[in-house]
Amino acid sequence: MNDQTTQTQQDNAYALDSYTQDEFLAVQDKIPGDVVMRTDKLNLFYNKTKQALKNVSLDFRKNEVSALIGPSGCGKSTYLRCLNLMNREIPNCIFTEPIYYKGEDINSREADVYEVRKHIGMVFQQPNPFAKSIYDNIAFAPKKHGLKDKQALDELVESSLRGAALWDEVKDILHKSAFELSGGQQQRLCIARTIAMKPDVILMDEPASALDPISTLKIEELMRELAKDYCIISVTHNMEQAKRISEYTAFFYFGEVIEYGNTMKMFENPKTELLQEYLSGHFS
Amino acid sequence: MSKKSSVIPKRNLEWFGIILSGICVLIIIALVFALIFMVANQGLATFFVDGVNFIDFITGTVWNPTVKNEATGLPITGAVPMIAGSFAVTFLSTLIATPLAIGAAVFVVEISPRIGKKYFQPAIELLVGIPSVVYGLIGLMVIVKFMRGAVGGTGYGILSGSIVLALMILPTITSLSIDALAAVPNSYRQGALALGSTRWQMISKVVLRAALPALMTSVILGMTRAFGEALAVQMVIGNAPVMPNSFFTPASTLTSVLTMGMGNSIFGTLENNVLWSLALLLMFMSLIFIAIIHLIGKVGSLEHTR
Amino acid sequence: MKTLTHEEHLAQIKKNKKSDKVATTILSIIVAFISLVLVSVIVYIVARGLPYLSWDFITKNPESFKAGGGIGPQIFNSFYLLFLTMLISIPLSLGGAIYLTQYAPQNALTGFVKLAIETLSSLPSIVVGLFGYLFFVIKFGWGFSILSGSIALTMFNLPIMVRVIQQSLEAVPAYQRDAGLALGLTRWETTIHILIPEALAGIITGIILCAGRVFGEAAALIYTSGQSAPEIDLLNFNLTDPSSAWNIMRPAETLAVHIWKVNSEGVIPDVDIVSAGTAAFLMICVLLFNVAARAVGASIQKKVTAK
Repeated sequence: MNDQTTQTQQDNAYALDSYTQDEFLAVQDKIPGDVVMRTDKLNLFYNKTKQALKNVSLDFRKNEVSALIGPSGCGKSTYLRCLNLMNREIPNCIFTEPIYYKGEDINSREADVYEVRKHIGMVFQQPNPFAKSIYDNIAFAPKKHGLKDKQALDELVESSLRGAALWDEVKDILHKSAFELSGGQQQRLCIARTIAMKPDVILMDEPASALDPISTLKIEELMRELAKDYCIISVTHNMEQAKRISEYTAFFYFGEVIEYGNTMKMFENPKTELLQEYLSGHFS
Repeated sequence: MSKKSSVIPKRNLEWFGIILSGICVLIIIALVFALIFMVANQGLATFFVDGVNFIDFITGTVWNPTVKNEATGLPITGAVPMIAGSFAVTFLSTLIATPLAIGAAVFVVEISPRIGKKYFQPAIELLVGIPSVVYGLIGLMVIVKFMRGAVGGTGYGILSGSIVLALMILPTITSLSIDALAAVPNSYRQGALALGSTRWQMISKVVLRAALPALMTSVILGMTRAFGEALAVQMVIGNAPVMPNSFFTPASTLTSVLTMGMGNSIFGTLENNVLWSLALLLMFMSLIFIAIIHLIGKVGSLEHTR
Repeated sequence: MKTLTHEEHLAQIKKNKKSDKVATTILSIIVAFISLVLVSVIVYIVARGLPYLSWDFITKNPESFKAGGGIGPQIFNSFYLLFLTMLISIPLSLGGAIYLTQYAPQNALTGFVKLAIETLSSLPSIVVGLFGYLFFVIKFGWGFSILSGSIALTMFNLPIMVRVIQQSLEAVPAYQRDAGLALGLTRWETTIHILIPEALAGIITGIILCAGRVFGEAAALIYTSGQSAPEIDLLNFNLTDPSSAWNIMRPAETLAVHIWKVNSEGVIPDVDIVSAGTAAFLMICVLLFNVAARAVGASIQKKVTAK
């Protein structure tokens, strides 16, 4: 009994610290939590010559929000787009190291990329609803994946919209065009669309950067809410936002992870000089 | 959820899409190749089957396939009159149309975009869509009649043909030039104006210069259209396959001889084959025009990187 | 460079301003001139032919040697050929455009495909027509027929239509496609259900404009669908009967070919009347295609962006 308590305390100590990449590799299994996604020394090249990611090793656990930060062009969005294999859609973009989802390598020939993307959803920077009704925006993909039952679809649409805190605002206009919604509503619709796939992981690429402050706040609240059920990984360029939304933060710089760990620890007491300089606004 | 099994696996569905759309591309490519091959094959028969000397064909100034040359025993098939006619109408029409077209494009993009975009540009696009026989008819009814009155003779000839063609390629060049000028970044204009240039200085020294490769491309596309136009020219040029020695006397072009002759000769005979040689020449010239456009594109992009 | 005195400088500015004014004036004159030409072309053709466009004229059969012929069969032939051409070229161009925008790898082969399509677009239509004559009329033995004609027209039409559809698809923001793919859908589903509906306004507008171009084309047809318009029976649905309007193996002269033929043959005494009337009819159709393209495009755009 006593041993277990000290063990937990020790684990919690790991969870509250921050690490360089090498340090992280040494302790990564000691950080508590249920690892959903893991990359192990991931590299990515454009046109075979330009290396955009260098040996990126990170873990993402269930019920946690992780923020990816760093100056623009540092590779954080590129990294995010590896996790659901979206980078495969970019010609001449090559990344071959395994990417583990629940312990299984999804970056292989055998893995079904379509199945992978159902489990690992993505929300984009620009709200991008389809030119369809609100209802169809959500029902479209499940239908294409084989869900034909009208009642099941209705239920799915409602639960997804509720999950994205949008139901009350749109329940009477479900069959109107999604373009009639405000930017913030559109973004929440895109989140609802992602939830409807019943994913485990939701990737978010600066989901609030195109929105006004009030909508941004709503999205942030929603992200905290979603963390109760999902593993959330979000790119952000806003330090304050990273502090507000995330348990863990990874700081990217020129394609490498410089520092990774507990968000509060990293912001209050950065370990590396680069992060210190970045936080003090010496570059962005 | 039990209906899930009825869904086609996504991977197969993607292959279905690739194969279906790929087949469309293959059909298009096959048609292009069949065209080039068949026309070349038929056109080359004149030289390889019928034994006409290619040099005589390409340099001969007399076209009279129904009469035999006493020395060779072969019909007289010099293509120079038509080649000269084609180039004459092409250059002349380009000469007439280009200043007007580029002037109009400058007006639309630089002087008065409001009027230009709203009224003039749609009108120009409409003009592009007018069938070439209608242009030919106008040429016949108006231009040939006018020429007859103004300079005498039949009214048919290279100048009539060129005016009709100029009318036809004017909208083409204008529309493409508008795109070319609109593609010049606004920062160039602001830079020039900030240095105290007048609008005209900004246009002539900065905008036109920056858009030069694209403008040249649009002019050459206009020339391609003029060179290949058949019926409108055939209706007004007079169709005399003789060396053109005046703008006002009947002449002929590659296209007009093809249009007239193909129906009047028997397939497989030398008289017919030599027409296919003209078609081959016509096709070859369009390929040259494309090559020139690609060359301009390359030189243009080199200049930008410099 | 020598330094200018204040007076010289002012004179220079004045000169520049003057040339600016002159240039503006000249350009305005050019635009006015082109507009005038445009209006007179349309007015001339329509006004000249309109008086002859009687019900009789647009329904009667043409005459070969005497005056008073109509253009009934030509009107039918033009629309029938247009319909068949579109039936072949729309799926082909859609497929081609989808391949080029969604699947084509960035390699030499794709560059080659694009070059081939570009080549086809720059080939004179008479060459396309002659190929049709050589290949379909003679080698395949289809004779002067609607089938030969519609394939020749398809070849004439394909490159532009592929380009139009390609441009419309490329105009849809990339993040729309990403959204579909990120939901685990294939490129095929994303293209068919997301990209095409969003690009529909552009695609339809382009298709109608292409239709106008096809409708007026003559050079590709004179040696493929031929220059004769036999009497046809609209109610005869025996597709092998030469007198059936719907038989695709019969020769079919179109309106545009008719204008050219009566003028170059000049055997009917009322050439001027027939060609003026036919041209007016053709012109009105082309104008309608243009107006329709804009109207339909705008209304679809409205529907897609906001219901």
